[in-house]
Amino acid sequence: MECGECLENISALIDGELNGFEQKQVENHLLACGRCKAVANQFRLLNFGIVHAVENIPAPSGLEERILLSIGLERQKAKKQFSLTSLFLILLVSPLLIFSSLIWRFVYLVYSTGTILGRAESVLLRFVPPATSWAIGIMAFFLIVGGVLLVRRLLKGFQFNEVFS
Amino acid sequence: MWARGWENAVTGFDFGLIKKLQAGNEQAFTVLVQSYAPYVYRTAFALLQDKNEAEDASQEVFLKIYRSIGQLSNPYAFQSWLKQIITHTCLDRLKKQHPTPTADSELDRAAVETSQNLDQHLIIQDALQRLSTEYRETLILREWQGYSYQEIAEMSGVPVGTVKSRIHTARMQLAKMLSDERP
Ligand SMILES: [Zn+2]
Repeated sequence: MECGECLENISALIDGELNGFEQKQVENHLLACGRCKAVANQFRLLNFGIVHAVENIPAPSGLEERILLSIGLERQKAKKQFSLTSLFLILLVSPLLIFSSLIWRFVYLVYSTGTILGRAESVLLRFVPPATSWAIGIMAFFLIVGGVLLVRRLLKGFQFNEVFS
Repeated sequence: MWARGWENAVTGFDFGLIKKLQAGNEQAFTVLVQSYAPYVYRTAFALLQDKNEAEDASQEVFLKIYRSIGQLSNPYAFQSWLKQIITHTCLDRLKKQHPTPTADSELDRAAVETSQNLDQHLIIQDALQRLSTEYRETLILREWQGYSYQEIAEMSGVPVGTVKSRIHTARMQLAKMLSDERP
């Protein structure tokens, strides 16, 4: 093998890209030729030099924050798109709900519950003095408000976004 | 052996993180960005040789991960998947790039040249910058990303023979530049 042919194949040799026969030929030439061997050594050193050089490229400060910010924006965009799409779908589908017996059953349930409560109220008013019924009403109001606040407090640490996104 | 940069970036990788990412865990994504952003940026800079382009490319890479991590069926393939995303993102940007060097890289070079005490890695960074785009691209894909000639040929859309001669010429030119730098 001539030096010219060897030189052309030195890169492929150190990259492990030669077949067995070619590799043997180049290696034999390197054993005999100091000049080509020097080039091979220089290329090998260069490999480490390049890896070292890239490893030492300084990353700009705040890079991670800016990447996370761009992902945050993407996430917001996706959420907005999701809610707009669902709103659109609901608007599209809602006229069809008139034909659903389930909806009518629900409406009927609300109506009958209201009627029953109304009757219970008139019966209560007949037996309980007005002052007591007012007291019961105000107490019930504060209990409901307190209950809502308690539930909100319990759910405060809970991440809705992680569950639903 | 030559893919040292890549291996350093992925050793000790927590595969449980991928599962968390796929479940949409925001914390896991922060961990991923914090552990990979410098590696992604360095790779992008090595290929693109421009700070702004490298930063934009890094953001693009993580957005792609965010959008498509759910489609990755095998968590153990994450590393080569990420490597592919980086490479493709940068190669696409290189194709769109204008051949004129930017003011940014010229400034950097001037800074390197006027500096009195030059580190070896700065000399090589500068020499890499002076290589033509296709030589640098091919060499970085080989040395830093650890791709084979066949893989580089497929990604760059050139024959394997061209990859082989580009790598050889790139090394010859680098070696010459480096020997010229020495007093
Ligand atoms: Zn020789």
